[in-house]
Amino acid sequence: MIVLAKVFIQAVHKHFGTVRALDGVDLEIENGKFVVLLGPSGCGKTTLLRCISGLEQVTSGAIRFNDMEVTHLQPRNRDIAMVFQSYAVWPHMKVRDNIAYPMKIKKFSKEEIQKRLQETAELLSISELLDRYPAQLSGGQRQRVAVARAIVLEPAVLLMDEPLSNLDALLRVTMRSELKKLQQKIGTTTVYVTHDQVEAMTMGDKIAVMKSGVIHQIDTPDQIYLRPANTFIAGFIGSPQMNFVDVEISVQEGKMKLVSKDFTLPCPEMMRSIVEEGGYDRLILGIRPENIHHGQQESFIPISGTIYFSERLGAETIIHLGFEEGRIVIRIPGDEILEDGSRHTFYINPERICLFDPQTQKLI
Amino acid sequence: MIKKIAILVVCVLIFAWFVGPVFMIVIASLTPSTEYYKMDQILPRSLTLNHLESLFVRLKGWEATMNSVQVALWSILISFLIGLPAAYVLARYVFKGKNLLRIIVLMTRSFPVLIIAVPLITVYLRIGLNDTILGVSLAHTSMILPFIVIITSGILSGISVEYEEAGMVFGLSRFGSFLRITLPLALPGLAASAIYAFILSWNEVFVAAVLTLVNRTLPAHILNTAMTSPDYFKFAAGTVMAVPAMIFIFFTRKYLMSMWGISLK
Repeated sequence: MIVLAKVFIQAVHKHFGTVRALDGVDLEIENGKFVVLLGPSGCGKTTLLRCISGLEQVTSGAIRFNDMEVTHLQPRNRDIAMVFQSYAVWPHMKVRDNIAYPMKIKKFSKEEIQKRLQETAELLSISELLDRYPAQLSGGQRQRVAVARAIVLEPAVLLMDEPLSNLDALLRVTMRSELKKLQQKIGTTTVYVTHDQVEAMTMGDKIAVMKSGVIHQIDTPDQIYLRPANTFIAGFIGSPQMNFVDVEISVQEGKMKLVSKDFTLPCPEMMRSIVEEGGYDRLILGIRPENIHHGQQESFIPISGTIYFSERLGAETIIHLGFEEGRIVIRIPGDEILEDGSRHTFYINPERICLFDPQTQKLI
Repeated sequence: MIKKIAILVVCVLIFAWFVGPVFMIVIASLTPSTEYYKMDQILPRSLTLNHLESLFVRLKGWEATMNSVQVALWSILISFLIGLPAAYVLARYVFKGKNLLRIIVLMTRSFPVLIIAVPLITVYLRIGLNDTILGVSLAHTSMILPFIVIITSGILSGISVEYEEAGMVFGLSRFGSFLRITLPLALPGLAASAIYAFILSWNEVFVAAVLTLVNRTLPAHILNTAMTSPDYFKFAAGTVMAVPAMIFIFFTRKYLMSMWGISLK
């Protein structure tokens, strides 16, 4: 029986001496959901995972699985399983012993151990590898063994610490979808740590973006992409990075305009009221490279500049469009050959414009 | 070509330098007393085991050997019992004064263990540990312990902490994880340091001689008996001391080499 656990993390602080690795984290994870902790190095995501696992003790705060308070429980009493970044597959045991060991410790019957061993090995396509030692396996195979070992006990919460980072790029792409499908099949509540935004966007039901020990936004991948809560998240997600332009608000003849040092754009209608209510005179305008198009469409806002440089990637073209002082990056599909130095007009989709408060860096 | 001959000559010289004396000692120990002092021959015509037999049986060399073995084993046991936990802490934890601790441990090796022999015997006489296996073991432990702590902490550091953490996540306590996962992985290195500790204790002469009277270890015993005997007894004693250690090291050389980071096929 799988006991699906809802994970509650409340006001968790973790200090290492004077270093505040976690500075007040609140997070709720629904039953059976796949939540990704995403952030740059040092943001506290691994520390948070280790606190959930019990390998680190929190300095203050509480962690619950459903109704059970686990904050001060040893890892072995928390009904969790973990896949480590280095896999931590025990080198002195064969693959079958590695997977069977958690069951052996919990004193499962021989038949039960055999049954689960076979099932899990088949699920992860490692049935032929059962009698090998970890040293005889490739990295990808060792990773599957680590995952098999983690799911064999049907834990309430499954924790993964950057399990794909030690794999080569091609294997990473395959394993991404395999892990996600596996989780969907077995339905265990999963917390997944990564610094790779592509992994987060493709695998997570929800993403918690972290920086400096705090969660900045918890949302679905779509929402994080479309409505990032602040400039940090906006810049962290999406490649090439979102364009940020400092603009001043000016109202002329009843029309609100966003004035940067290089160009002036009319303020999209839908944003006007928010800008007025907030009483802003300066803002940061954010627009993703892929939301600036080559072709004109009804509400689109034209912007003209000189081609500084184009990168032809085959399936798409990255264009660096220059102005008097600054540059913006544009991403268009297909292979476009545009000459350096030529003048072109592109069209910004106003629905995709994000405006940020320059003082708080937050989305308005 | 010349280079090859030169290397060969150097090798032969080195070989002779090391093996020569050993060869001499062993031959001398097997030379009958009648032939030993003859001036006109170098190598004996016949070999005898008389001297070795005298040493072992009449002069109670066998008991002394057994004492040596017991002392060595006890020393290893106590050193590991105290040293392994200390090594674990040094390998796994970060705390204030960690480097200082390491240096202090190292520093206790900086003086010869002999200087504690006389103070120790006076204490032992008071508490009744004089002339006991345990007494000598404790003294040898003080000599071996720093070595064990430093070497085994290095070995334990080399074993990724994630193996232990995986053990802890999947059902073991921290101690259980250490016992069932780290220890088996550390075993080759630990075995090698135990072997070296054995030899350190086995060869130790002076403290053993000071601390014991009747229950002597083999080196101390030889100091008593063979040193006042004719030459061939001395050589027999030398053989008895050196050969077992040499054979022991020969058969375990793979482990010792791995401890120092060299791998032999």
